[in-house]
Amino acid sequence: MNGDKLLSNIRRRLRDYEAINKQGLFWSNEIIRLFMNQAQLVFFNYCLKEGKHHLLTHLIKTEYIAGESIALTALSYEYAHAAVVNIADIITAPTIYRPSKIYIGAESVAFEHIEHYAGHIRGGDLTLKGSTSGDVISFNIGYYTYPDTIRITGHKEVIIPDVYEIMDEDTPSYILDYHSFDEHIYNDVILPLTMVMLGQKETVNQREYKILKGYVDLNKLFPSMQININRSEDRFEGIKQ
Amino acid sequence: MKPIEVLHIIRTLLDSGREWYLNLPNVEQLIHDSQIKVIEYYLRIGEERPIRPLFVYENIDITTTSKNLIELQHPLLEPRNCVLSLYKTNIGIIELYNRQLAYVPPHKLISYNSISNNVSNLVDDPSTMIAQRLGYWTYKQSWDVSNQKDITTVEINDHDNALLLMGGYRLNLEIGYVRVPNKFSIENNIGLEVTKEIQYEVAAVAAESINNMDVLEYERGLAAPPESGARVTLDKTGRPI
Repeated sequence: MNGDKLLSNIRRRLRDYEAINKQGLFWSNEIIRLFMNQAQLVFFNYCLKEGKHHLLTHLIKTEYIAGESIALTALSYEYAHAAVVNIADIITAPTIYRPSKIYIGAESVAFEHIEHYAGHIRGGDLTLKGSTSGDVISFNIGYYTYPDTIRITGHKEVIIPDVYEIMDEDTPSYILDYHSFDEHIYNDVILPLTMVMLGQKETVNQREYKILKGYVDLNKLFPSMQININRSEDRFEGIKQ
Repeated sequence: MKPIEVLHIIRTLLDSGREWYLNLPNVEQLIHDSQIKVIEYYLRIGEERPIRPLFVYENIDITTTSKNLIELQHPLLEPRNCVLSLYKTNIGIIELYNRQLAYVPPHKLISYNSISNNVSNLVDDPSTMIAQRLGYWTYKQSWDVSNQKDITTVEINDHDNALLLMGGYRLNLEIGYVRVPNKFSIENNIGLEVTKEIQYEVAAVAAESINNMDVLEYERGLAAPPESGARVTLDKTGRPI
């Protein structure tokens, strides 16, 4: 996914831009890209953990697989939510479809010997088991894929476009060419999350408080040294509003 | 995420490099520890989805193996399941029973010893006679000096010894467990082994522990720093005064 416009958006929100009175960019493009990708995965994990599957509708995939098992790496699989088993039956000519449950990890060992249609995920493999061994010939599986990786290609900061015509008003989607979540999720969740993750470098955490405390102590010793530790106006931006 | 990206995230979160930073082996060790912390967290909340790459399933034929020396392929982090199944191999392979073994702590296994070993009853119809019985299992960790690694040994306690001596039977142990992830290493390009969506969590926990080490001054334990050349006086209990 092309994340150039997300990148500019984040720079705006972080107030990280180059100007005459500024030293330069604080975060590199690569670091922002890395954190954006991690932010969308954190959100993705949250949705799966809390059962908010309605936010992941872009990521559902269904696939037909011949045979009894498949390596999950072939699927870019995240979380199998349903499988339908296709069973060979000699008496009735067409194959029968049966729903089956998917077990992950420890559950799979517990239900190993019970005769029912089930998929077992162990390590990197998904295996389907029928009531007797060898009667599963193929299966359909529904699963969530990982969100598309956000990439940065030829990012260029444009504040006022040189040519007016390049602003295409017919396409409301100003962010993305292809997206893995609803568009507002990028704006409302992933961007702020990235901002918070990156901003941990800027806000006063324990470590920085310790450093700042050093300056304050220094100020006590030498009162002539005026060091205003709360100089940064950005820090109080939220309070003013 | 590549190993080097994990390191970049930690450095960004710590805002380090100015006055204090851990050396690489320490950071790698802390990342490894944090990964185990995160795995244990997800096990505790009953969510095995993000740690499924570490789930190992082993099916071991223990017909002729000594039952207190069943060696696993990987060091075990969390036991999940242990199923014992008996097969009759005289005519075809028929599964007679399978049962879930109960885990007991290593020092208590000896108390859960076999109750009866009535061979004469077993000979007639093993499938009906043995199915009601219980079995127990435990595991021990030891250090392999020659290969420099941890070894996990499983020990079980059940009643089928007499039966197996007669021949024509096969005893299988199926163990599902979460293994210890490989040591995180930049040099050997061994990254995090949990799934992508919780890798940021691991990096954040590692950053947090490094930050604590600095801010809470975990590393300055001695009363006199060794580089000062001063003798450290010890009290009767061996603690520095």
